[in-house]
Amino acid sequence: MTNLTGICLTDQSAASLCPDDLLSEGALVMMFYRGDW
Amino acid sequence: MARDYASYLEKGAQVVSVVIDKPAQNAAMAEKLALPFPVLSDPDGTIVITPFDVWDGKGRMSKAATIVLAQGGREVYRYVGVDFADRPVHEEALSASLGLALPPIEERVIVVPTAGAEAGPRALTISELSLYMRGVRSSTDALSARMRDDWDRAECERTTKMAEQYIAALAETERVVNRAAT
Repeated sequence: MTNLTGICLTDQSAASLCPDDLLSEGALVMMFYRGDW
Repeated sequence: MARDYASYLEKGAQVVSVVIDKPAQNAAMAEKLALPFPVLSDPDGTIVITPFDVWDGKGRMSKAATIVLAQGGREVYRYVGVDFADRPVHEEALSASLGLALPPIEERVIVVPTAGAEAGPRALTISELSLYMRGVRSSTDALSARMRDDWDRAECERTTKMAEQYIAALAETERVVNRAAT
């Protein structure tokens, strides 16, 4: 199990978003894309 | 996925996407496709892409993959595409979320800044994306008739179905974007 605690990334509005915070709301679907689409 | 986002929230699942692109590129893509969920930037793949074991070292980008985590971080679904056109049909991820029997989540307000948004050099328009997926659909549909092995035929048919979902979603995206512009 990959631990997301303390991990944050920058979203499209340049704001910081921590996936672990979303996991506190429910499940989390993470879609990984190759980019530039 | 984006056009069926409400279904995920109803099942108690949040959605994010992760790419290596910079936030300005992601803003352009989020605007173009009217994405209702966050698009997170992991530029060198070290923050979550590699830890989740979906880094494509050869292409130096993420593999196309969908992972569903239950609360607490337990992984309940994983699909890792073997090539650029290989993606899960989205019902599989939705079904994994459904199995968790979670209460609904309220939609977050996603702000997509248009100022500073800058599409990457390889970004396709919605029309080009649709044409591309029509090509995937036609070729996999044709190939399925040539397959002799059941697994190979099923794989072609799964990819045809995935392409059809993308084509329908892109048509709906075009409607959403045009409505927002008027």
